[in-house]
Amino acid sequence: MYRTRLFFSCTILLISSMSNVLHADQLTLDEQNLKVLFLLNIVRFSEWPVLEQVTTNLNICHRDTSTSFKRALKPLEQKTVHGFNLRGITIDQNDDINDCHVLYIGSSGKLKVAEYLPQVSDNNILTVSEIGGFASRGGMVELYKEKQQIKLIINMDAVRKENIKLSSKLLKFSTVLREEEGIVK
Amino acid sequence: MSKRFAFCLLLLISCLTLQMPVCAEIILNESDGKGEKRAIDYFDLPLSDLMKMQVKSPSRRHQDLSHSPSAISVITRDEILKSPAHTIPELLQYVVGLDTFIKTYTDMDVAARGRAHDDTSRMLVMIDDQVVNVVPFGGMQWPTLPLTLDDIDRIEILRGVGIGVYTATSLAGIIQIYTIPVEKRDSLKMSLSYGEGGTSHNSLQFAKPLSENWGFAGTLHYVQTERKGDKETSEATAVAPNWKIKDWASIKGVNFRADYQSGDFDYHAYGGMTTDQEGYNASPGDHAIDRSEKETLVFSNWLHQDLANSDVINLRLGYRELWQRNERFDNNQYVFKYKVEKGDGLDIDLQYNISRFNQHSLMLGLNYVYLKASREINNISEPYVYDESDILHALYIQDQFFILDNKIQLTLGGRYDKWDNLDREFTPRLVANIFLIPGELTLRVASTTSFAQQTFDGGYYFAEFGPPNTGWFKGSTITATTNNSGEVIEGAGRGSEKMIAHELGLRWQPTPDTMVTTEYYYNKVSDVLGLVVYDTVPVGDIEIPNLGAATTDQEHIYQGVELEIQTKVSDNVSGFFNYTYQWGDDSSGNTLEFFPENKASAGVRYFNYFDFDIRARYVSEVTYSEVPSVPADSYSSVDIAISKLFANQLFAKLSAINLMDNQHYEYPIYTQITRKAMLTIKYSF
Repeated sequence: MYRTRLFFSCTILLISSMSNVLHADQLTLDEQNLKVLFLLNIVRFSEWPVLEQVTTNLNICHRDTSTSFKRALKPLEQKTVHGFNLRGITIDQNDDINDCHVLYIGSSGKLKVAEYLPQVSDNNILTVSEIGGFASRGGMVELYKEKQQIKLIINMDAVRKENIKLSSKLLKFSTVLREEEGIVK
Repeated sequence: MSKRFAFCLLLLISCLTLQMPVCAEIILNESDGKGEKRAIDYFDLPLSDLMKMQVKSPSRRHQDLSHSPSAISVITRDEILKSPAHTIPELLQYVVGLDTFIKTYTDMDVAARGRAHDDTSRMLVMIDDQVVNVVPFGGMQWPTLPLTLDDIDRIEILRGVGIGVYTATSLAGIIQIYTIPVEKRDSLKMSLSYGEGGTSHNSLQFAKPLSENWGFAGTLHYVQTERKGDKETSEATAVAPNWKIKDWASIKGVNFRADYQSGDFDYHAYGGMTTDQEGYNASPGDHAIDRSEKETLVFSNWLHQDLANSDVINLRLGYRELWQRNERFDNNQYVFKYKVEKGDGLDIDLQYNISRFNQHSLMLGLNYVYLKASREINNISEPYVYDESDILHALYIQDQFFILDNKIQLTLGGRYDKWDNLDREFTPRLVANIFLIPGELTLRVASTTSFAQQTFDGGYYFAEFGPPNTGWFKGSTITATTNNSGEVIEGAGRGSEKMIAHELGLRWQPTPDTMVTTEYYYNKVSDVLGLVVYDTVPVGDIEIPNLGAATTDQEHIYQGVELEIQTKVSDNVSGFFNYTYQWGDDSSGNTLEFFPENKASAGVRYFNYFDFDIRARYVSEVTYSEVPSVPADSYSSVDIAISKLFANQLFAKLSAINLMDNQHYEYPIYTQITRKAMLTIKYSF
């Protein structure tokens, strides 16, 4: 038995010494980092009706998000999209959301979605969340995990209602939900 | 031993450490294939590439099947809801490689790969990561679990040792039951099931968000396994005309789940309690009637904290308790009474997941278990009392990473266990998932080690009770084996059963809706735990042996082939087929016959106006060593369920277990399994 254990351990050492070389298309990422990258791409493929007239910043507001999400969001602030500087803003209960272009709701806000969505209505704010059922509850973009990958559900009716345009480049990788028709893609 | 152990542990830790690449958070240094490093900015990755990227899974939960280091089957919530089953063992009977013997409607043995026969202590059962095996004998009392099928989100069955780091002693495998989070539950739901033989399962569930962060759910349930007196034998009527006993249990239970989430912190608690009264009159010819009362308590806490550096801390704290009292009635009097036993278990598991290193998921853990069992039998010739405890201190480590251009996923792990009553054990494990055709064909190769300790109730204690009655009681684990002069026999008795397992599996997913899995396993078990004579009791002219569970010089080899096919033909039709062929020998060359050699199951699910679930299985003959003259014949069973959900609120199901009423025994004595047709109504308010 002891010899067997020794054999196992040596085998482990041998196999472990076969150093792995990383390739870009094989990498895995921490879930929050991956969600932030998706958020960046969602912003890239979105158009707001009056963005250029009012600001030089594109504000990504977020509430009920975890520390790891906030940390993952930090590097985004060095980026520009459509010529605007990206800025991350943590939103609390009484904060003004008028300056937000995107509102990301973290999983802790799952019980308050019905309260949050009316607050951002008619403000041309793109709503994004990782909360299950977010799109079917009136949110615009829902991120969900399937087989260890991040997938998108987009509620087109909610998006159009806020006069936001989403590129077909984004839509072709998403499941599109129309409230009256159900899932069409 | 200690030097070798230390050497092995050092090797393991150092090789895992050496394997860590230095990596950043988002921007990584990559090889361009020419040996030069270049920076890849993830922010520039196109969406199409992002869609292909995998979320790194730091914990041991929710892993893609093709990446699972264990032979695994999953039963989903939808399948549970619409299947003909009303109990967990009825669900598990259709899992490949799993043997399920329903001895009575309150005594069911479930274990993988030939280990179901009174060896259920080797099959670990967990609810939300908390071990719920009862302490005195280590097995399961399925009907008295404080849980209904409506509380279950999914069941994962890991066959074989796999890579499970939960414990070193799950030789047969792990049945992991996950309960439904509060947010996914209906606010109020009532479920009523009634069927043949007086069987009924009833529950009332409620769920409520208490605040922004807190959610709470609870379930009350009542189960009657069979009506008292149904099919009562003439012998039972003669012995105890007023008891109306055949094989019945009345179980009342309550359970709860509480969820809390705030930022990076998650907490959930699950707990429950059942009280149970049951009775049993054995087959014709056995006059004795057993009655028992049980109380089962399970409580678990799970805390999860994401740290700023992407690491994760998990803490589990659980408690389990069983209290039981038995009495036996024969010839119009109590044969014995107040056979009381109690078992307690406290489980603490602290786990640190390091996920900051790209490609690696490293897990380090500490495990503390305190077990205590006691038994009192007072109204026998020699009052018999024991009160024993055992403590485990363990640490474990596991790393999962990719090599050879992501073509191989390696999972390396090992545990160090020190039970107070055993020598220390080190059990290394190695699993390679080789992606022959990524996303389609995966070869799994595993070599693992494990061990089993004696349970408290492993022995048999012979006693006289109300002479001329005599018999054996399940008794305490012995601490030493002696001859009749009381001299300790060196090297006999204490110790652990050890197993080396090799597994070879192939998972083929030709389309997203079809999965074909084959597994071959070879389990070599040495120092087999068996029964040894540690004393004899003179009864008249005969010396009756007292038997203790102890290691023997026996060696058992179990082998088997498992095939599982699951396919979704269309949106309306899905099906499964599985076949298990298993065989075994002991070191004397005898064939092991206490598990079925062949087992095949198949089922079709059809969803339309009504949902149909029809399934059938065949199990070949089994011969148990304690009743070698009465083999349990091969049998087949057809189970069916027709269900419909009305207006998203009312769910109705008509089901039948053993539809053709193919009366059979899954264990040669005890209860004959007959048809159980049931009507179920569930309403969500």
